[in-house]
Amino acid sequence: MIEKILRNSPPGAFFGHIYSYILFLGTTIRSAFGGPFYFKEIIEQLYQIGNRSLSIVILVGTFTGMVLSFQTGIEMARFGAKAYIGSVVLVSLVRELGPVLTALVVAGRVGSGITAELGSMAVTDQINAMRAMAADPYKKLVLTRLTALLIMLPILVAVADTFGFFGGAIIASTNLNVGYALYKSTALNNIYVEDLLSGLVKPIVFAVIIGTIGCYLGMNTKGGTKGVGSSTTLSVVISSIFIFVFDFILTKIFFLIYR
Amino acid sequence: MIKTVNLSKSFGDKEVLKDLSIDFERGKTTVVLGRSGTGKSVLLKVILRLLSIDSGQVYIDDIDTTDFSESQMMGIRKKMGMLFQGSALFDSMPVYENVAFTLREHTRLSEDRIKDVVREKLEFVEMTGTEGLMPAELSGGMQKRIALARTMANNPDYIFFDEPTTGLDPITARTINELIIRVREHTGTTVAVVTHDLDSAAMVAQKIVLIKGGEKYFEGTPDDFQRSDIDFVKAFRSGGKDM
Repeated sequence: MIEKILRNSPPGAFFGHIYSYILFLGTTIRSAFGGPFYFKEIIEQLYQIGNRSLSIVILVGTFTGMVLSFQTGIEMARFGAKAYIGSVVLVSLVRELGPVLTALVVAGRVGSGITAELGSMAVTDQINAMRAMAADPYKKLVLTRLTALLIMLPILVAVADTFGFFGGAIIASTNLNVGYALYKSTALNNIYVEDLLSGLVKPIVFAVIIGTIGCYLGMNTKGGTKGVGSSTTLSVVISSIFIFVFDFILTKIFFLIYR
Repeated sequence: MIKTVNLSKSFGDKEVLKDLSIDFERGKTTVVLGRSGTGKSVLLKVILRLLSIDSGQVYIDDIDTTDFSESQMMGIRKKMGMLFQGSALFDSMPVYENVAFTLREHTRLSEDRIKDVVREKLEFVEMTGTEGLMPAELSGGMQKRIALARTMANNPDYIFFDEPTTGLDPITARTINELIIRVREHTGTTVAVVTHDLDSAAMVAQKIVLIKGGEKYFEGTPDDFQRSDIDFVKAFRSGGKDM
């Protein structure tokens, strides 16, 4: 009823979606308690997410590390600080670039895929068919994808960080004359627990953003194939915006905790 | 028995169902006839609570389910099955997994037993040998038959058919109608069919309800329907010639 009142006024449509999204989150959380648990589906989703994203995450991570090393290395060399290039590259990757860029890649590759798949199921009555057969689509479709994202995104971020670190090492060694031993020792000596914590918490929050927005828009798709296209585009746009917004919020929170 | 009492449903300003009261009698086939867009599919979805109720009551086995939550409806839905207009087969699963879906969800049957039930249901709809095919590899009529096998897998007390013959050639449509009759005769299931297909209604119905603009215009036996002098019934029978 509240949703209907909200949706009936144009400015209320926005708040209607916010209200629906909050209800969606509530139903998803509620469905996490009690069986059945779909372990097979989670494994399938883990494979799908990893398979869809791994190669592009490796590429993005490697080239980000290389660019970071090259651009900051040149500037640092002017101040005689190029020996610390390993530290700059690793901290930048772990705290910021690894989580954000990987999340953006996953939002584009996986989030859009989730919305398109669930959207197609919604417009062809497959989700209704599931409900009609007394199966809970929140358990079977939403929770499985969200769980897989929560597991896989931190792993993909770690992969991006690792390849970025080695990409940076190649540039440090070939363009800046900073050997791998020095690069590695400055990097590992200047990375702290809060950096690693930030690098772990951000992917978890981003996974929730990508998973819930992707599933919410997919399950609420209307209007046939055109609607599926619109929902898919919207999923990537909204997820990307929220990733940047929450990146800032989390960075600020970590700064306040560890300053 | 399923009973709707003064059931109403609107989408925005459009009132789709208006004070609709229908009894779907146990073990019988009730056909809800009406023009396209008159709320026939909405009626089935409201009974199953795939759509919410605006006002009125829905009784299933004498239980008032009107205020049931989604989790309470889950229990009720285990006794029911619905064959959707577009079949709504899970297109990421082969036929075998589609038919086995409810068995995996709601029973602890062994894989061998599931295999037996799937084979039995596919035999019933004359689709043996299609277990490994994907829904996209099937024709519209074949998809309907697989969807029926899936719906029947857990032997529901009630089966709803939403426009079962729409988009099918006359021969395939007849096959589907024969299956609807066989379902009731072999299993005693209570069947509800919504359609605008008069031939289908004439073949399967034991009771006909005609709705227009979400309101009930006629309720009776197929013979009553053929003899009725109500203007809209006459117009519907004649395909609009008597309007």
